Amino acid sequence: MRPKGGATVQHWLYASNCAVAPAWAGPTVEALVAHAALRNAECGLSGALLFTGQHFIQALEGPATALAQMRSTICDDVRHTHIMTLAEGTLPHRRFDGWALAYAGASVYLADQVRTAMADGAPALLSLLQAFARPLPGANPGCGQHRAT
Amino acid sequence: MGEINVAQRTVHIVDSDALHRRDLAQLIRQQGLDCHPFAASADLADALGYLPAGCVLLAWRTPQPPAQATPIAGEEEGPGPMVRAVLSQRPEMAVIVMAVSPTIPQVVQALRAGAVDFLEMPVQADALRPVLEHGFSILPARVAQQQRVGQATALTTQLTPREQEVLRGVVAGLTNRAIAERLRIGVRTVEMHRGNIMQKLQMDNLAALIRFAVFTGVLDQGLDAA
Ligand SMILES: Cc1cc2nc3c(=O)[nH]c(=O)nc-3n(C[C@H](O)[C@H](O)[C@H](O)COP(=O)(O)O)c2cc1C
Repeated sequence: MRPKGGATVQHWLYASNCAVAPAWAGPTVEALVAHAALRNAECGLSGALLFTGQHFIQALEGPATALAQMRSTICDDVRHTHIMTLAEGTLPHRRFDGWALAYAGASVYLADQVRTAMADGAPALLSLLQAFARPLPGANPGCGQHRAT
Repeated sequence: MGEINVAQRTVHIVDSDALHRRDLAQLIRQQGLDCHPFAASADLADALGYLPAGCVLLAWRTPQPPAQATPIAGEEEGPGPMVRAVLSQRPEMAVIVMAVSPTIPQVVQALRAGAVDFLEMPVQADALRPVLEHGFSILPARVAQQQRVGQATALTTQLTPREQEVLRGVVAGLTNRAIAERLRIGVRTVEMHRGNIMQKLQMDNLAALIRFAVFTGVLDQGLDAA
C-alpha cells in the first residue's frame, strides 16, 4: 500500500474491450475490484481502473517485476479483449496514491469522452483517471479548502 | 423519430435559464415523456417529496463573478453539492448534470457525487435521447433498491438501543461471550437479545441477518461507540 517507489517506477496504461455480457459486467467488475484491491496492495502496485460498460482503461504503476507479472496476468484474462497499450515506461515518481476504481458505470457522456480521449492519446486518459482517483474536495482537510465535511 | 417507448416516464428539469429550460422541456415532450421544469434548485427541493421517480436534469451554471470577487475562491466549486442535495432526498432519482463547456473535473465531480450521466448545454436532441434512455434503463433497479432500504430501515427502528448494540457485535463477528463482556451484561441476556433481533427483523439465520445489517448500514455506526 505504501507508495514508496525508489528510483524506478514502471508504469503501464492500456485500454481494452469488455468481453463480459452487460448483465454480468457489474458483478464481474465488483469482484475484480475487490480482488485487485488486495493483490495490488500486496505487490506495491498503484493505479486506477475505469469501466464504461464497453471499455476498460487502466493505469498501473510500481516495481518492474511486480508490474510485469501483473501485466501478463491481466493480458491472459478472458474477461477482456483487444488490449491496447497506450503508454508504458519509467516514471520519476508515482502518479497515483494507491489503487482505486475510478469509475464503473454506463454514463453515455463518459463513454464518449473516453472514445475521444483514446483518439487523443495517453495524456488525456491519464488526466481523466487521475481526476477520478483524486480524493473528493472536502473529504481531506488541509488541501487549501475550508469547507467542513 | 426514436421515441422512448414507455408511457408515464417523467423528467424533472432545473435550469435558471428560461429559454434553455423551455427548449429542453419541448425536446423532452417531443420524445413522449412527461416533463416538470423548475427554475431553481429550491423549487425542486420543495417538490421532491411527492414527485414521481424519474430522471432529473440539473443545469450547472457558473454564477457570474461579482466585479471585486477574489478569482481563486470559485476554482473548486462544482456540481457535486447540487447532485448530493437531490440524492439525499430521493436516492433513487437518476440525476443527470448539464453544463456549458464542462471541464473534466466538473464531469468527474458530478459522477462521483452520484450523477448517472452528463450533458453539454445547450442540449441537443441527439445527445439527450441516449442519456435519457440510460437513465430510465437503470431507474427500476434504483427504485427497487430504495424500497428495500426503506423497508429494512423501518425494521431496524423496531430494535431497542441495546438490541442494536448486540446486533453490531454479532455482525462484527464477536462471540456471545465477547458481546456480553463489552456490554457488561450476561451471556444469557445476549442470547435473549439475539433471539428477539431475529424475530423482529424476520430473519431465520445468521447469514441473512448479517447481509441485512451490512445492507442497512448498521455496521457504519461502528462498534466502539457501544
Ligand atoms: C480489466 C481488468 C483489470 C484487472 N486489473 C487487475 C489489477 O489491477 N490487479 C489484480 O490483482 N488483478 C486484476 N485483474 C484480474 C487479473 O486479470 C486476474 O484475474 C487476477 O489477478 C487473478 O488473481 P489470482 O492469480 O490471485 O487468482 C484485472 C482483470 C481485468 C479484466
